[in-house]
Amino acid sequence: MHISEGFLPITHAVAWTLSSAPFLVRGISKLNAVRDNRYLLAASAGYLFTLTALKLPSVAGSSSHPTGVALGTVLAGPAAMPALSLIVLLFQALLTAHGGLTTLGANVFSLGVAGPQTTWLVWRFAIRFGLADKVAIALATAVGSLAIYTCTSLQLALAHPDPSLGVAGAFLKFAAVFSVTQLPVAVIESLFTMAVLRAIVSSGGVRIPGLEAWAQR
Amino acid sequence: MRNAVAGLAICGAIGVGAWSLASATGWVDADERVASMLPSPGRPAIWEPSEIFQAVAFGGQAAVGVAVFGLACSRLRRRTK
Repeated sequence: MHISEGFLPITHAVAWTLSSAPFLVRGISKLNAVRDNRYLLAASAGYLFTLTALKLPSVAGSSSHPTGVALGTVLAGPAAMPALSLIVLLFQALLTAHGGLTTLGANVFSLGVAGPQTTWLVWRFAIRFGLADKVAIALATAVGSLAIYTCTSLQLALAHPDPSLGVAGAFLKFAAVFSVTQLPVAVIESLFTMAVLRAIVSSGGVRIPGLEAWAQR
Repeated sequence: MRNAVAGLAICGAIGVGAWSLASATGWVDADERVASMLPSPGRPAIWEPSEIFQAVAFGGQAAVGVAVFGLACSRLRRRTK
């Protein structure tokens, strides 16, 4: 999901940065406001930091990394994720040449806004529709992970539309490449996140609405 | 909780190993695969670290992540007690 330096026109880079800005401002103010939950934020940041560093071999000769946003979305809420994503993406842009500084806004929007918001919505809907806790978390994690790559495909398609098929054609082209690689990684991430979240909640240190049953086991 | 931290630490080690394996065997990063479908950016990259530097940076990132996660989890556990 990292759009590298130079691959977005400057107008698009500015537009995505402006789109991410309100979420970032809200997220940073939330970080300041939730001092009681600072350990939850730290756990979320650590998890995000770790999983985005794991470049795993996948199918079709491609490799990709888990996104790691689901745990933080459930523990700290989706509003906190843009700020945590900014830290991770800045680290990677400066030290690993993954992403870039001009594309930071676009990458924050996909990793910090699109992914967590989708994860949150899918999780809440899944619980409302009566799915089991485990299934709801796994489903939300996998869909959120794929949503990040869908967002990246859209960002690239808007910047580089296909000459004959336009934005829709370019989007399908990029999404096809990403989805083949990311789908197995998303499935692995969903199972792993479910296990880690269950371990944290069942230890009793955290009360998450919707996961009360895990805390009592 | 301890299992979660241990699991994440093992995952970090596996991830760094997998990254090295993926790089050594020529598995192409999905981002790079998509980037190769795009027109080349007009300017050269101002910062292009070597493979070894990237491996160390990714390993360092995973290690920092595991340490922060472990510390946070231990504090959460202590708060519960």
